[in-house]
Formats: sequence, structure tokens, C-alpha cells
Amino acid sequence: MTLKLIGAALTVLATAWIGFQVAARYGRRPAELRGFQNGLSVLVTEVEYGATPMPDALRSAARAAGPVAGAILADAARRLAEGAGITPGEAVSAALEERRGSTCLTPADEEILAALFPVLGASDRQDQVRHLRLAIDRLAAAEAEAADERRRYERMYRYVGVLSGLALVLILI
Amino acid sequence: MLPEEFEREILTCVSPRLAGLLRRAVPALPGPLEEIRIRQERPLQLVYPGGDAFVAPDGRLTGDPGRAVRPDAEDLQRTFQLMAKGSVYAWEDEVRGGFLTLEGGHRVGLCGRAVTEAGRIRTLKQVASLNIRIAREVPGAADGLLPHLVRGGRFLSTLLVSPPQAGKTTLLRDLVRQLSIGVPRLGLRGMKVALVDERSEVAGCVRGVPQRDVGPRTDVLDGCPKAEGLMLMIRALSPQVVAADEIGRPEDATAVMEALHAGVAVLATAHGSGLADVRRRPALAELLKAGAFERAVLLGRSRGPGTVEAITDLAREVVA
Repeated sequence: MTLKLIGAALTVLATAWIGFQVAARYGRRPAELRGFQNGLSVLVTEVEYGATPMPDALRSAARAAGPVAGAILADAARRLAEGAGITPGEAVSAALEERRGSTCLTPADEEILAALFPVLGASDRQDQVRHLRLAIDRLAAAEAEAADERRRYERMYRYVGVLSGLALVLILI
Repeated sequence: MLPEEFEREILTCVSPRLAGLLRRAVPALPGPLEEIRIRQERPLQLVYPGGDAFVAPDGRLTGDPGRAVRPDAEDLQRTFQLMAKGSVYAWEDEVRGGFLTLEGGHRVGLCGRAVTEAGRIRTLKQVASLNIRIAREVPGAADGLLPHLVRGGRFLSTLLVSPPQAGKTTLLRDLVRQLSIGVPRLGLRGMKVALVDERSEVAGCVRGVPQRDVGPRTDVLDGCPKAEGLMLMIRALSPQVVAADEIGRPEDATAVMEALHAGVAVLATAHGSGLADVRRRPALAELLKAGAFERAVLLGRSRGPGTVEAITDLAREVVA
């Protein structure tokens, strides 16, 4: 009996943990998207008013971008400063690739960033600002959608986790 | 130029594919490298004094453009981006002017499609031609010339006239260096020299610090329009000599006159294949008429770049 109780508790804990994990992804995605928007906003300022070279501009963008986006932008700045013949877009792309599993971005979110890669740093100020602003707008739309999904699904997945654990226990008992 | 300099200053700025080819091709040239000409979908060309060669797909030199490697759009775009350190927007003025300056003072000429606004170039996009001009430092290039430009321990205001690629900038740089150090054998003490380096070509400044040896008493105003720069230097830095590359606009002439009235000697260069050419340009003609320069030096390539073809005392007698 004790063994059964422990087993039941472990099952519920496990499914609840899975449920909370999934729910947390919905919780983190808006924050990450917001981080990228903040980072890109700083990039706009650096490019438009400072004409700051890309590695430095990416570094200051990283400081404003929160933990996840910040780490990616800082990594991109480092890769770019090391040189080896890569463009700023490729640096960000590689940094993003390396953290693919640890972010909560959807493929559609990454698509927005990927649209920036070929143009990042490759044109005059006006053009850079236009592309960056467009990406910020699209990220904001994605963030709104992410917030909506969070409202709908975050709590639901927590419940689903706990309840499916309970259901499993009932079946197995 | 030394191989490690070539590697660091040039090859890090071209697309890895082209860098690999150049690494093999350049040492095989019969003379020192003068220019690397990268044109989209056209043969990759190397220029040395007195000739040129194309680069074959295996990195060997070839005289036949038909067998040469043809850089593609990706090569051009990547090279342009690397030259701009991934920040084309930070070089807007330079790109508009059609050139970039690499670390080490190498100048890169740009061509492509111009985007215009109200009849003026706003920027270049789709850069399709790059011309990397290797800056050469030739200490002593001015040794033979300098005695003709000094009288009684005084440096005479001089105009260097030269067609493109005849070593005008190299000579200007060495003159600046020697004036700054001083030349005891001519009774010339080291002078404070103010150099306005609008296109970062003479001193090759990176973040304001000269990469080329321009002497211990030289101040460099980097990236500044010449006319405004000359005025600023005269007012702010009490120079004994002001130097500028490629003067020719009316406002340049005003600034040069200002320098002369302030008792500052002027060392300047102008494009042209002879004094007659110079006299046809209104601003320069006016300067010559006003007696702004005491010496004119004509350069050519008859015995390689930097050949002094003639030195004229602008009181119209030929000295050498």
C-alpha cells in the first residue's frame, strides 16, 4: 500500500512537472520576444544616431535585451569581433543556432529574426533602420500572439499535467 | 609589404574564397602588388608596376582573362561587408564618396549601382567593383627631391602634380615625415606639420591614430574636408607646414591662401599630367597666379611610380 501511494505520488509529480514545463514555455516566450524587441530598439539607436560599428552596437543591444536574447546578442558580438570572415547576420544566426533548444521561440519567431540576417550591417543607415523597425513590429505582433496563447494555455497545461497524472493513477490502481 | 601585413590588413577583409586564391597568387607576382581589382562576374585582376595578371581558379597567375576566376555576387557582397567591418552604415560618407580605407591606409575604390536623391549620390548598392590599392610606405622616396624644395633652411611651399598612380601620395607621406623629423644635411630643423587627411590615405589613420610613419612632429586631422580642416589646423595647432592631398576646389584655394597669409608653408598635391593641366583648373590657376606655391613638382611613371619628371620654380625657370 505504501509502495502504491509513493508510486502514485511520483506519477502525479512527474506528469505535473511535464505540464508545468510546457506551461512555462508559454510563459517565457513573450518575455523572450520582448527581450529581442528591446535589443533591436537599442540597435536602431546605435545605428541611427551613433553609427556605432556592429560588434559594439550588438554588445550594447545585448545589455538591454534581457537574459535570453541578451546572451544570444552578446555571443553574436563576440563571434563577430573574432572575425574569421563572417557577417553580422551570420554571427547572430550562429549564436541563435547554438541555443536553439534552450529558447522558447517558435520557428515563426526565428523566421522574423532570420529575415534580418542578410541585411544586418549591409546597407546605409536609413535602410538598416527600416529593416530593424520592421522586425521590431513583427516581433511585437508575435509577442501579442504569444501573450494571448499564454493566457489560454499556461494554466490549462498545468491542470492537464496534474489531472492526467491523477487519471493515470486511477487507471493503474 | 610584408606577408603578415598582407594577411592581417588585406586578406582578413576579402571573402575567404578569394583570400585563399590571393594567398597563392600574390607571392608569384613579378613585382610588388599595387592593386587588387575584384569585379563581379569578371576576371580577378592583380596589378603590379608595369603590368598586370589574372588569377586562375587554382590560384596560379595567368595572362589570359578567359581562364581567370570570376568572383560572384556573394564574393563581392561578403568582401564589401568585411571591409566595412559588418557596418556599412558607419561608413556612409565614405561609401557615398566611393571609397573605404582599410587598416594600414589601403584605399578601396567602390563601384556599383548608385542610389541618387535630388541628383546627388545618396549611397551605392550592389557594389560590383572593388579596387584595393595597396598603400606603400617608401621611406626616403623624397630624398632626391627635398634639396630642391629647401632654400636657406626654409621649406618652400610646394605643389606636387601627378597623374593617378604615379606615387603622389607616397611621396607626400615621405615629405611630411622628413619635414617633421628634420633634415640636418639641408639645415632643415624638424617642423610642426599639420596634415589634413580627408581620405585617410596619407597617414592611414584608424580611429584617429596614424598607421603610417608621418614623423614625430605631425598632427593628423583625419577624415575632414580639406578646406575646413586646413583652417582648423592653422587656428588650433600652430603648424609651420600644412599638408593636404588632392586640392582643387575653390574653397581649398581660399584655405591655402589663408595659410600663406598666416606665414605657414603649404605642401599639397593635385591631379594632372602637367602644369598646363593645373592652370586649366580655376581654383588652382588662381593659386598659381597669386604666387601661392614656390615650387611645382611634376611626377610621372617613366621610370616607375614616383619618378620626378620636372621641378619647376614657379618664377618660371626650370631647376631640374
